Amino acid sequence: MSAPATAAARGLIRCHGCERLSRRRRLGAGASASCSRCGTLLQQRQPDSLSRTWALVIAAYICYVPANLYPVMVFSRLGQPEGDTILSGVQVMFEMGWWAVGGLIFFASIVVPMAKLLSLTGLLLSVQWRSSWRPRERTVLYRVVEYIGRWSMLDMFVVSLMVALIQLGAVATMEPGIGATFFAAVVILTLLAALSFDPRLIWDQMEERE
Amino acid sequence: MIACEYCDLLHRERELAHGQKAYCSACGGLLYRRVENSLERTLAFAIAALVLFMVANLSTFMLFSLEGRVQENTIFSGVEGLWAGGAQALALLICFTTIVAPLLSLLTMIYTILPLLLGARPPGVAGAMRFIGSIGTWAMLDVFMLAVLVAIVKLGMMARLELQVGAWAFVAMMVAMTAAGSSLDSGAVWARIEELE
Ligand SMILES: [Zn+2]
Repeated sequence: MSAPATAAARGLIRCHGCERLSRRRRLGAGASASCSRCGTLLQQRQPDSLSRTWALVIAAYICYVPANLYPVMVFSRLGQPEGDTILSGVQVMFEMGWWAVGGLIFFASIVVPMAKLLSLTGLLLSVQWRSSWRPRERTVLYRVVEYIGRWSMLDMFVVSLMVALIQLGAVATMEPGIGATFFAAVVILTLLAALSFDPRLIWDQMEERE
Repeated sequence: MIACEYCDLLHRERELAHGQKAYCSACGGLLYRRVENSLERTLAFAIAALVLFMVANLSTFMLFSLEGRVQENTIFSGVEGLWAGGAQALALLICFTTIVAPLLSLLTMIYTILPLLLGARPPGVAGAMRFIGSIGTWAMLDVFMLAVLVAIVKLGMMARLELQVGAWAFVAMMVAMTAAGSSLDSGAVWARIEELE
């Protein structure tokens, strides 16, 4: 089988500003080339994609622990604070029989962030180990991760709405817990991680093998 | 020739009928699409969304009644409430994802396309196009709207929530923004710029 006809293999660079292809030229030290149509700096792949994505994913794992251990919402009545973590919040909803809403929050706040972190870790490892296993499916997985990540903000928006709406005065208060901040950090870090991962790296391994 | 954004494979560009899309043969990613009158359509939807943005942010979003007390809420009063309640980080996040990011996205679209239709190349088109592509991730109107529905269910036991004009304008803005985004064909933008030069 001949080498796949990728832009990189044919000595071309795709401009990430306007999608025009430019021929790759030899540059002197410290020189850079920019697109003739739009002037964007030309880069064959996202710079330091793997190390940046790793850094963001690891930071997200670290924030993931307090995000799940600490309450995301604290409801105090007559000076008695009562905190709900993400998991206990979902539990309460199931106990009350709100299956649809409980299931939705469970999916958006527990399944999605974990699946996203594991998928990104898997993608990073597969690129690092030069895997040639199912590149098409891995690319599709990347696109799913890229699309679905924002939905894990759902519970943070719910908490914010409840806090903003309920100001019961002196008798009872509702406040966001420290867990909410960590959880928002997890979502932002994984969104940034997905943006900094360059899926073309999955396919670069394929060319090296052929 | 065009290279796939996801796997770098080269494809020969073919003529598409209006409304058709071309996908990558290796990874299935979207390569390009053809939208009839892409620029005019995008501009029309973006301006409509901007008008709806004003309505959504300036009018009452929902009425909240608890123990006989009725409270009018706008999107921004929610942000203010969070800020005052000591959750500054969450307040900024909500403000950014439901107000700032959508507004920036719409303004950048109008900034890019309006001059092109009038026959001028706005400075920094490439940066603007890249910005439109990346700000979309942070505009979470759909997620926020779903959260409103969840909050209505969760608070339904103790309080009454009624959606008002602002909420409907918000939903309409969401639809108009999605339409603007899917009408914008970057190929048409660059073809237009090359025509002008
Ligand atoms: Zn592809």
